Amino acid sequence: MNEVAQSALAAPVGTISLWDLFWQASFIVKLVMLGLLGASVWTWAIIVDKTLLYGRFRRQLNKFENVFWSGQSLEELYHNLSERPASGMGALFVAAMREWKKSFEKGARSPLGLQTRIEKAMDVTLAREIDALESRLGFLATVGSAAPFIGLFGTVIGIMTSFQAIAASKQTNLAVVAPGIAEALLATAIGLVAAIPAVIAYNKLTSDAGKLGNRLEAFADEFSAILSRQIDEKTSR
Amino acid sequence: MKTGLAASAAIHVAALTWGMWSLSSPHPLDATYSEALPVEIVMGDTFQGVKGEKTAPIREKPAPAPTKKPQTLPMPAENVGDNEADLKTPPVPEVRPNRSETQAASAPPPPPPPPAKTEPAPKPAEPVAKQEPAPEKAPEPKAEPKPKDDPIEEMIADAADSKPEEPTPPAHVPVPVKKPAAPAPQQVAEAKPTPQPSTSKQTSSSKTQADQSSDSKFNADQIAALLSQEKASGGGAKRSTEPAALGSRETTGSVLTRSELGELQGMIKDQMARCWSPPTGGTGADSVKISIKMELDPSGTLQGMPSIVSGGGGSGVERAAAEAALRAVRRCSPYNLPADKYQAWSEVTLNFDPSEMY
Repeated sequence: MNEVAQSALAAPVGTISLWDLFWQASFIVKLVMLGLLGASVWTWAIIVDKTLLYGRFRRQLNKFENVFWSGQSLEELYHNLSERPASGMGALFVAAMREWKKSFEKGARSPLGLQTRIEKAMDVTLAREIDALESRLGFLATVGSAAPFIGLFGTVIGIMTSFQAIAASKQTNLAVVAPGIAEALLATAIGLVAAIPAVIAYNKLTSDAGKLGNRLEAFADEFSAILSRQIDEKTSR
Repeated sequence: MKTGLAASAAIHVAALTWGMWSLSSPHPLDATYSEALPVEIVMGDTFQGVKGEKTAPIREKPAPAPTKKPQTLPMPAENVGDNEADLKTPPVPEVRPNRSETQAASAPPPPPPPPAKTEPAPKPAEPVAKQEPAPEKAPEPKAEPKPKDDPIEEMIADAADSKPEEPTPPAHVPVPVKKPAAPAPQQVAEAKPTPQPSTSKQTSSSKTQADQSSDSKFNADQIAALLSQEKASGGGAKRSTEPAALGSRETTGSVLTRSELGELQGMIKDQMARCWSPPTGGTGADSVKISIKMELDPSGTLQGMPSIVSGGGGSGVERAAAEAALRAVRRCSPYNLPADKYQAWSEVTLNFDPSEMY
């Protein structure tokens, strides 16, 4: 009787801060929590990085399109761009122009082959650019779908451990049970905290990347049409 | 990527710091873990044994209804009289009539002088000449009374004469005083006429008889007279200045203050804690509530069988809990409680409530 009362009083009622919950957890639960925390950190790193990258990319596209449609000669533009590594539309343009120049400098006279080669070169560059845009988005998808399960795993393990402890101490006092369950639930909480932003960001970023990719593809098609017309003009002479 | 990682790390550190501060100390629920033994003790009637009003509301201290005092002198008076309070009742003689009555009442009791007074008076006048032989028996009384007779007789005569007058002057109240005063003179008048008509031995025999009888009455009456010399105090109400509060008709014991009551309850609880183990497990074991009534004798031992007042019926769990509680009450039996407050714990009701355990 008195023992129960004393243990109830002695139970750690006040020590349930986040840190205490983490520190009192079992090894596996700690591991799960740390892993989820790392995943969350990486998720947010990707989100920040991609948001900045897409902004930059979009600005570059706008700038290039302005320059491209300003009536500047393609040769001049190529000279300006080829001096430094370009990205986005610039890279597409440089790749196409490089292939064009190589073909004419060597005096190859097969217009069909030239057309095909230019398109291939542009395809490769396009694929690389889109890859760069969409890189690491897969991690967000993984975190978004897997983090809740990982957190749940931690919770199950934690509750299992605390029930074993209850069975060992032969007390059903809520003050004895509660801390273990609280720390177990913390794992699920961290899992959800990591997963929710990951899912939202994944949807947003993939749609953004898709839009940018479409713009690149449209430009590639347009540019290849321009080059094709040029080839026809040169060969028909 | 570095900028992203740095930004993310900063965000997480900020969020965790905020979490440490805001989530670290949730307000504890109002659960009272200190309530180790959920036994509630209901002391008999706390207000039993202290004078108060049966219908008045409960207060800290039982008290009878305050007695009302008539307003005294500085007041608008409407009735004639010299009273301190203005009463509608006509003025009545207060003090003197009482005294004269007591005197009259005590006058018969001091029979030793009166018989000598009243009867000797005739003797000296008439019988002395006639009945010289007869007074053999009472020569001494005669001889003695005689000298005394004159002054006493005068006294009585004076008293008889003055008594009708006496009441009037002393009484504070004017007119009707004479009536109550009347009986006193009548007694004296009765006493006087008898001696005058009685001429012979009859008187002497009657005297002696009267003497004897008066002698036999003497002690008790004398004591009564002595006692009655004390100023009689009437059966007035005990005065209460506090507002009426719940209590019993008569004061039979001492009242417990709340702290004393709490102390008693704590003592019983502590002692019960050693004997009672609450029922564990089982469906609805927590909801079982049992109240047990027990009577204790002044030494603290259980008197008779403790009875279950409520609870303990129905399911087997409940019955088991009730039996456990009964066993606990019996096992604890010699309760160590302050003997001077026996009034309070002679009959105790214990409420066992396991649901308050956790």
